[in-house]
Amino acid sequence: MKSKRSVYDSPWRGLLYLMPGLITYALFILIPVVQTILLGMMDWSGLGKKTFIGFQNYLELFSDPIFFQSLANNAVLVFYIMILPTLLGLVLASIIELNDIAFRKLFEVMFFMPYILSLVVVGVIWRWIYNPAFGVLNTVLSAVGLSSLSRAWLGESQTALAAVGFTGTWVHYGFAMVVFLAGYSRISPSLYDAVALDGGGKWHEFRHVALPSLTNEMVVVGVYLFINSLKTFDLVYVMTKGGPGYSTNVLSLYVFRNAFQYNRNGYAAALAVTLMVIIFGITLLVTRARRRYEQA
Amino acid sequence: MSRHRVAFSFSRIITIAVLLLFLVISVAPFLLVWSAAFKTKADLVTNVLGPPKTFHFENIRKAWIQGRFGTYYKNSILVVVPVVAGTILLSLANAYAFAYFRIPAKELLFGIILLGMTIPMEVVIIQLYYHLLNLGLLNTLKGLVLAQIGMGIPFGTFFLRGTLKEIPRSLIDAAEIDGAGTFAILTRILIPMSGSAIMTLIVFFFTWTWNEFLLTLVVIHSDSLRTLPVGMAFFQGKYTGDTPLIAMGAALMTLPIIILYIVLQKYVISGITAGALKE
Repeated sequence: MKSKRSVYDSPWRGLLYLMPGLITYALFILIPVVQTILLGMMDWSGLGKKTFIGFQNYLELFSDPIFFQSLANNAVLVFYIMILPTLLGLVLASIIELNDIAFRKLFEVMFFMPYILSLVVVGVIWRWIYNPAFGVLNTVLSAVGLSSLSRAWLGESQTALAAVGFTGTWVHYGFAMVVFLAGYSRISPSLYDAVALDGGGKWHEFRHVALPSLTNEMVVVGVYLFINSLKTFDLVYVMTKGGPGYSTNVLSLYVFRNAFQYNRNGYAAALAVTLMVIIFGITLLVTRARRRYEQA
Repeated sequence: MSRHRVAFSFSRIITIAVLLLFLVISVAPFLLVWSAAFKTKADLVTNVLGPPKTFHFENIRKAWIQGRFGTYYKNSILVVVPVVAGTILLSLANAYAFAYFRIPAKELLFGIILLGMTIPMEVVIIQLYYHLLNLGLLNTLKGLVLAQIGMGIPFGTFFLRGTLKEIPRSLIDAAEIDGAGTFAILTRILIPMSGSAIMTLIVFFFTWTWNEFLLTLVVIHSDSLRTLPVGMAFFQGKYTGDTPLIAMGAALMTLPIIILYIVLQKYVISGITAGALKE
């Protein structure tokens, strides 16, 4: 009897299944990405010839105050889009879980709702909320006698970035909460029983059972939201277009502007590649640290 | 003992108050926008927070026809349907090949595809623009659809490969002995067994494509081809002074999605979180 042959051994048949997807991916994503990486070392207005200039675009980056301002703004957004939603999500999930709240499904569904919407429509809604003349926020403030606090939230450089950032918090905290709730559902009830025997209360349950069990969720949510804050584009484009001045300008918007408004394609590519390197770096670092932590 | 009980119920009141506060924060913006959508400009100036005194339904017609929301809806559907179908079909074929077939340089090819999950759109768009221009696909829905499929394939492949690998090999071997070909095994055994994974992906790619902004902003230039998010961004610039009309635009965009979300919440929450966290 001949050795068993499987229909899955023929490489040609496998490649046949692979080709359509691989070609689409290569043609529309991979090739443009490789071209962009190369373009980072060139000077090109979009028309005419590309000139090779080595790392000049990257050197220019380091003396570009708008680049640093954008980077700093992205860092502020990390607070509003990563740190704040993660903390709020953890607190809300813990409150719901450890107190046996009735209608928990209602809270889960409603808190998650902002996250399913297009950020464009979220930006449009919040632009109205922040509107100085007949916006919701100023109306509420004057209704409770705090009209002295009302201002053009998106029009003043002191408040614009925080106003955009808070919108990001609104979008993401329910998402974080849902992930933590899923994490809670994986904790075995017997772990709580051990704490109950020790006479611990809710705080003990949170501190000694939930918190250690949720580290994986915290890392996953944290990394995802960190990357999201670095890639913020839609909200800023719709709410402020980076203004007033450059007070809400972010890296993505700066890439977009250089490429499609200032015709500085090489520089835009260098910026985009820098963004990609930061994202890859963080992802790699966290994956490594996690692997080490899990082995220990 | 009784002191403990008082403290307990007190903390419970605080807990519920906090949850209700966040419930208001999450939901109020929607209610305010939907009510503003039915006011006139004059109404809105004097009555920001209350419900509309009379409902001005003509805003619907104005946003749908004059504001072209009808066109944007049509374009969004023309993009979302082929993107979701195409991404899932191609990802399924890819996942099948990676999960079961003997392919040269399999690990390398899989690694290259996985790379796509972390590539930010910003890096793709600059050259994609000129690439589509050369292919004659710039400013066409076809170009937009193909680029979105390309962008979705990495996650689709990764996710479905995991699903297919969990199916017991013995089932496939048995079918092979019965003389079934690879295509028959895929369509008669593997796809029916991956129903919930495919449903999760449909929801994920649907919301992702429906909400996509940056790529569409770069690829599409004619107003008649804009999808909802890009249409909305231009619409709000054009009717800056007319807040009720903008609110109606926002209402037309949010209400159907939210109804769909509430009906399918189980799939939506699991689909979106799985997609986001790439688990």
